[in-house]
Amino acid sequence: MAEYDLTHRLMPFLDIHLVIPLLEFIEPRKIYDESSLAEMQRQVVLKTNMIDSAIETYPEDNVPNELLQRRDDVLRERDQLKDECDPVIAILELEDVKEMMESARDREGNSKLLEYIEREYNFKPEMLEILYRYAKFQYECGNYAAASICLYYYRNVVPQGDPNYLNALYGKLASEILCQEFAHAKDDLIRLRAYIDSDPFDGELELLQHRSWLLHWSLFIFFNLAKGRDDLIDLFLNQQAYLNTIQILCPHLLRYVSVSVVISKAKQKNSLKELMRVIDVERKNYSDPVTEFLSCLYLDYDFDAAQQKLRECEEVLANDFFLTALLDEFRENARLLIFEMFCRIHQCIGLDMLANRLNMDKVEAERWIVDLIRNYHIEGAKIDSQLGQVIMSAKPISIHEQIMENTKRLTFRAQQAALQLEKLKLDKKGSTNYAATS
Amino acid sequence: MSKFFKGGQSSSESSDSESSDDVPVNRQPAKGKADFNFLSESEDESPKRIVRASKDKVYDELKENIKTSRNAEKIKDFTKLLTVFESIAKSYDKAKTVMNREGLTIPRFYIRYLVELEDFINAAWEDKDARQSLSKVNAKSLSAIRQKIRKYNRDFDTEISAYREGPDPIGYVSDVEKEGRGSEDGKDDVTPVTDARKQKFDVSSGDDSEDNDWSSDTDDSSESDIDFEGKQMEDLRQYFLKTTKSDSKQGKKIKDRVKHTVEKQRQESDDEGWNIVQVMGEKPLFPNKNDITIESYLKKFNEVNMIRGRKSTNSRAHLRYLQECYDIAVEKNFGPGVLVKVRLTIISALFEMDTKTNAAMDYNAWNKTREAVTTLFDLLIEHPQVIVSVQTNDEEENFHQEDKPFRINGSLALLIKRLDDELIKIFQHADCHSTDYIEKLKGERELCILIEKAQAFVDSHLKNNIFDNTEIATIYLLRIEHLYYKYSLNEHETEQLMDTLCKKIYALKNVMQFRQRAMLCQIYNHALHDRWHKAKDLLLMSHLQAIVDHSDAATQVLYNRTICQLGLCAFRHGMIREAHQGLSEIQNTQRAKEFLAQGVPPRQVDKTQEQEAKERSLQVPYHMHINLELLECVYLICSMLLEIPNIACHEYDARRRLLSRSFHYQLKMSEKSPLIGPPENTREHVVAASRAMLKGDWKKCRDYIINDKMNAKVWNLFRNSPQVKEMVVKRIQEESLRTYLLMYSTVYITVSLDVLCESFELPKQRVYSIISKMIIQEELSATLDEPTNCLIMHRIEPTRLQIAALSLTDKLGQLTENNEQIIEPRGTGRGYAGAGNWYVQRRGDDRTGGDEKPRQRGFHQTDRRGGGGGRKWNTNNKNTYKHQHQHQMA
Repeated sequence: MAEYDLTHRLMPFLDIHLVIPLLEFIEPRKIYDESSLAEMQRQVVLKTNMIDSAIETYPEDNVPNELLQRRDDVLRERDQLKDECDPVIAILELEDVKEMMESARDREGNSKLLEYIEREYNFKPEMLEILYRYAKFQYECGNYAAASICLYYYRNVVPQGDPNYLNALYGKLASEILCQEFAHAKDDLIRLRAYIDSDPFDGELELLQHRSWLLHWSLFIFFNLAKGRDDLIDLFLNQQAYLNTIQILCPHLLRYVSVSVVISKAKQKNSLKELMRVIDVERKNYSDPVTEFLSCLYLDYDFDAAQQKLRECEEVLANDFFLTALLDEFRENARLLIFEMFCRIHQCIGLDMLANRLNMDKVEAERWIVDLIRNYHIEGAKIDSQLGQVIMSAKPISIHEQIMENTKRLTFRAQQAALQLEKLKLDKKGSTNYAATS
Repeated sequence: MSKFFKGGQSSSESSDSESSDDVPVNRQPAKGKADFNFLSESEDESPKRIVRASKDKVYDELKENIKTSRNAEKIKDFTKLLTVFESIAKSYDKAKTVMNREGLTIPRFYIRYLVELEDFINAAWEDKDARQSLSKVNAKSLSAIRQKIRKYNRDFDTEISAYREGPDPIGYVSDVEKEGRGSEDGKDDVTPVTDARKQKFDVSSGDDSEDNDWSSDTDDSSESDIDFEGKQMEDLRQYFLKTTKSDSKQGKKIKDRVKHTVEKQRQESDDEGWNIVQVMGEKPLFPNKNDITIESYLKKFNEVNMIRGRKSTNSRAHLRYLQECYDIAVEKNFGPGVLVKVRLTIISALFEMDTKTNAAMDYNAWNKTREAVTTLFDLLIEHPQVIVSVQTNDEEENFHQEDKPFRINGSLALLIKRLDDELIKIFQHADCHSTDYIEKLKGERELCILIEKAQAFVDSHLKNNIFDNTEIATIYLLRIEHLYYKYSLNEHETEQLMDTLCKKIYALKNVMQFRQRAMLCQIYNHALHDRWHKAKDLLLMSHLQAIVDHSDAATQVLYNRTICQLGLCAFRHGMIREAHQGLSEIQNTQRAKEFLAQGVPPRQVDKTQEQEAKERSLQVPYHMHINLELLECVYLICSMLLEIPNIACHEYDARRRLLSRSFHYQLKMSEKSPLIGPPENTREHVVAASRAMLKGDWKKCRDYIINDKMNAKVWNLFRNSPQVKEMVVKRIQEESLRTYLLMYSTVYITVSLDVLCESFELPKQRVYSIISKMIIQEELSATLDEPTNCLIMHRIEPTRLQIAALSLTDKLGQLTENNEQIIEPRGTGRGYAGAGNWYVQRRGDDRTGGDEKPRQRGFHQTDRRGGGGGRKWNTNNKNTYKHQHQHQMA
């Protein structure tokens, strides 16, 4: 099973604090060797300031001394930072300042607020630095709620050009995710994305890197919000820049895109084709049961193999941190896809064979198909219970229809063209006029 | 006037006019001198008058006239010149009677005068500006004298050409030179003119006399201030004049002999490295070897160097002197700096040796040059304190002072590059089917070794910053270019090597051109070794398709080669569509040979000679060729596999979209022919196979594609031919099945899948999959009946009206599309879409499809309209189908 586990592929793109829940999730699944995983977990925790968690990993009487020592250091540092930071926060928590903060707009770049507090409350630039350090420290200690608040203030005060601005955005996002405030996190994600898309970086590579991080962090949000999957498809598949990022750096994200597309009824029609194209291109670079299921179904038309892969998918999904909750939904929708394909290709299908393909017993399959036909209004599909068959009465497209279809949009297109032409004419006139006057 | 003379005249015209330009400036002193000359002349004459033979008398008269004529020349007084010339002609007639009486030949000085006069007149004539500024009378006289002297000289044709061929017999040169000066009574300002002329004649008269000319040049420089008395000179000349004819003959003989010995010695020296070839009449550089100091040595070396590249310099002699310099430097132990410097000079002299003849270097000479470069590198490796770099300028150069670091100006990378270029030239000019070519190929191996050495040298000197980026890139690229087209059994190792070499170039800054080439080479190498995905990904990531149109011709050729190789690689992997796309770019044009630079096309109507020469210089050496017949065959097979089902599918489409122009052409040609015989060449085989496939007869199709004849011509050329053949057979089965279903769908109501499996020998699962795909893609209007395992056809034969209506809608759609294109041109990816958007290229299912531009503009335009636009429209159409269908489903 370990071969399909993505934890190790995801980790390089995640913050160390975000890795911890992944590891905690994977622990009881018994995919990896227990002791090595525990050691790994401990190593991860040791890199943070969450000394208490680290101490917990040791037996009570066998805690290394330096760890205790370090805990004291951390506590002392916290107190010190807190003392420094308290006056700063006091200023920022004043009513009028807060009000300004809430009414401030992004594009003003925080300068107004900063000027205001500098003028009114003697706010010094180095105070920003103190605030940032305190927030970072809180985050390191696992006090995400506090970090989130501090970073909220910081973000509203610090100018956008500040080198720490991006860090603060990331920190805020991570804090919200770890506080499980996914609605807030989504706002932060949008803010972060806007900032990254404005491309304040030196090179393509850096931009790519940030995009890949953003994509990975967003998984936490998209799989924890109700409409998250549709948003995920929007971001991952429909944004060319992000799709490029996936293809270049992290094709393993295709699993999440695939699952989202299979599940999402609203987006499926338009995105399936695009997804299949990408899967086809990246087949060589990345494949797992989920993408293979789709490629069997839509590229190879191999239903037996698709069936096989679907079974494998269940296990993969069950062991995936993000997807585990979606297992049933995925299974159901995957079956529907298979059935749809069948309907398109076949005139008549034996229920036995269908049940087998759908991984159900015959009675269950019959009931399922009945539901399907009723729920999704599948045209022309009927069950012949006596012969144990599903019969499709699909009629071929007549040539008349074809001609109608071909000419349907012609008028509209011609109108569009005429409008376009008109616009061009106007533009031209405008520019010549301008040239004449100037 | 001889033709030869004409040629020589026109080539030396510029310098001649220069010298004549000088004349007016010098007019003043010349006059003064002329006065003085008259004096001295009269002084000279007085003792002579006592004993004077009739011969001398007439000669003196002639000479007198000649002198006046020369003066007239100097002030460009053509009227006077004309009258003087006429009087000269008269007095010559007089002299002739005397000469006939005494049995004398035409005096040499007279011939020389005629030649010089004619040259002068011609020069004056050519110089249009000056001619126009002449007064009317003068101009008239000029044309008159020009015609006259032409006519007159015709009588002396043989003598003049003899004079021109060998004005200076060996051993006599310097004397003639002095004599020439003496006859003008030491008028220094004239000397350069005659000197220059002399030298020009020398150049045209063959290379052997040049040896001596060179030495005489140095003699001149040291002895120029020695004045000879006119009389003395005259006597000396007289002495020779008597036997002018025999003398020149003898001179010729001597020359021939010299030539022989030179050649013999040259051959000898070929065997044993180059010793100094001692030529008769040549002085050693240093008369006394013992008292050479570094200063005198350098002075001499500079002197030798000065004559480099001059027209008059004999490159071989020059080389010998340099070699001597080198030997002396070794002998005297002047230090590595001097050795390297001299070596460098020798190498450039070696390169320049045969530049006069524009063909390739002689292979042996090349080999020698290569050895010289190798020794230079050995020398440099041995003495790392000597630094040769382009960054050193001439002032900083230091190669003899021991106390300072040795720095020498020069580019080692360019030396190697030049060697490589010369070798390619040698290959281009060799007969590729001869054993000689194979012999020469050995040079390639040697060169590879040298390049490797150079690369190691560059690597070891990376830190001291003596090579600039271009040089490093040059060396690395050379290494790559000698590597990329060779198939290596040790695939992994070569891949690694290529990768490290290419990455080195990618990492360098400001070497775009090199990077492109390196990338292409790497792609080529990947493709050659069947690493399809790596090759494809690299090509896509490189944006090369977009920028290659702006690169130089050689890179474009390399690009075409790479695309072809990639196409072949795709074919071996069974990616028929990709292979077809890659190859069609080249194959569809009928100019594959030209695009791959593997032969110059026969028709050359619109090409200038220059273009042609350029094209020739781009030719890829034979051993790097891609087999064109194989390319064509693979392309046609791909076309067949794609196009035949396509034809079957779009039987009723009014506007069939051709995937491959040339394939259709072949197919049509065979349809037209009244009698179809058994296929002869590969092309006919594929066409016959296509016809079989169109009937759904896959076995016949297979037999046409895979048989002994095709094995020999095509299949055995693949390394993994059994697998490739297997793949092709499988594809033939599948595509035949598709064609069969499409062609006969109107005839059947139901088709049993089992029967299909049996007759096409395909597994049931595969048949099922193929049919499913066809149904989904709406190529086949049919459905499967699972319980009976049958395919039920729904296809209805359309009526004529329906067909017409369909094609009408088709055309309407096309019209709209075209209009939209005109209003708002949105190409399918026009070129480079900006950084980060490289993915755009992957968008279409085609790798090289719409946004690929064939290299040639003319072809490209027609193709775009038909191909690119149509394809796009087609997909749009399909989309609407799909949507409609999905609506129905939901």
